[in-house]
Amino acid sequence: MTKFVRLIDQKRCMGCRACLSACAAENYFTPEAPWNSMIEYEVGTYPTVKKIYNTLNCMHCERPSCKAACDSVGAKAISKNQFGVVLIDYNKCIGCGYCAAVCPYGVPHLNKEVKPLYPGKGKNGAETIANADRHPTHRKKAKTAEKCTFCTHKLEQAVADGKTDRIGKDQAYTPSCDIVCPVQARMFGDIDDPNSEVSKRIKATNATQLRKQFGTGPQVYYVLEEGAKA
Amino acid sequence: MKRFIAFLVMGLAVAAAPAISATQSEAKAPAKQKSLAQNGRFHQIHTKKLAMDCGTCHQSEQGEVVLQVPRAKVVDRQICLDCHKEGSKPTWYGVVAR
Repeated sequence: MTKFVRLIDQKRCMGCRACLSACAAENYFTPEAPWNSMIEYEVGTYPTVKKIYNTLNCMHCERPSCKAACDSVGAKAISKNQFGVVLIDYNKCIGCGYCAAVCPYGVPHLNKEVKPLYPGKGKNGAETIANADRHPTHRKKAKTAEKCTFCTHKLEQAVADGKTDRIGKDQAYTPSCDIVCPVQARMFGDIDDPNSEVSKRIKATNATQLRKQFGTGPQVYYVLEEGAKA
Repeated sequence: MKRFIAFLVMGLAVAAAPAISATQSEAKAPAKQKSLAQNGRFHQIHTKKLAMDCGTCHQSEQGEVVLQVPRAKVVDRQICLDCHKEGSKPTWYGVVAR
């Protein structure tokens, strides 16, 4: 089995937001529905304080609460594929927002209106690509829920090219946010392969998931900075 | 006899029509009804049927905002977990929480 996971090292992250920018450009995200966010908060007591940078994208849970809610309203727009990627089918989404309501991480966003990323400045380069020419996950629709897809278009390309072994290594086959990190605070790969870098580093750093009490089995691991919220 | 059977079939069809149309409208799951709007199904169930106050969920604007994208009236999902972890209620969350 192959199960892709992401590792985010808060101890390395310096809050530069290169991952957010890369995601915005790669996935044409709109102002109302960011696929990747940066949460900042301080811990400690003056004068011993420090800032925590917590980047947050979809956790691609093993038991996704968004999917459970979507199925319960009858839309069945959310699925989990063979690589463990949770995806939203925009053509099936009814825009009820239940997925956004139940996600413990506040990940899915309802895209009320498809606006350019830089309102008032027209479409940027990527946004000029016609919907028909885009990957289905990039065919934005109003009143539809959206979220991170683990750059599934790249994973699909790796499968098509027979290069699944290069996922997490090559730019063309790795989620953009993980590739651009200048301090290697992000890593992506197959956790079921004990020899993969991500697998080794999760073990070595004792990385953990956030909000485990919800029991959704997130596939994003964090190396927590001291005092950071789990 | 033929007339009687034809009449019976027509009668059954007329009687079943409302049920069939109700099933169809349920299958379509209109977004208007199933929405998070204040008058939508989600809030109706929690406030009218379960008689919960707004403040039960919308306790503060801050909550666990550090782990969520900041937005108005954020609800800490921990409050949901108090109920939605048992088999008798719609259960969104995983087996570990049960």
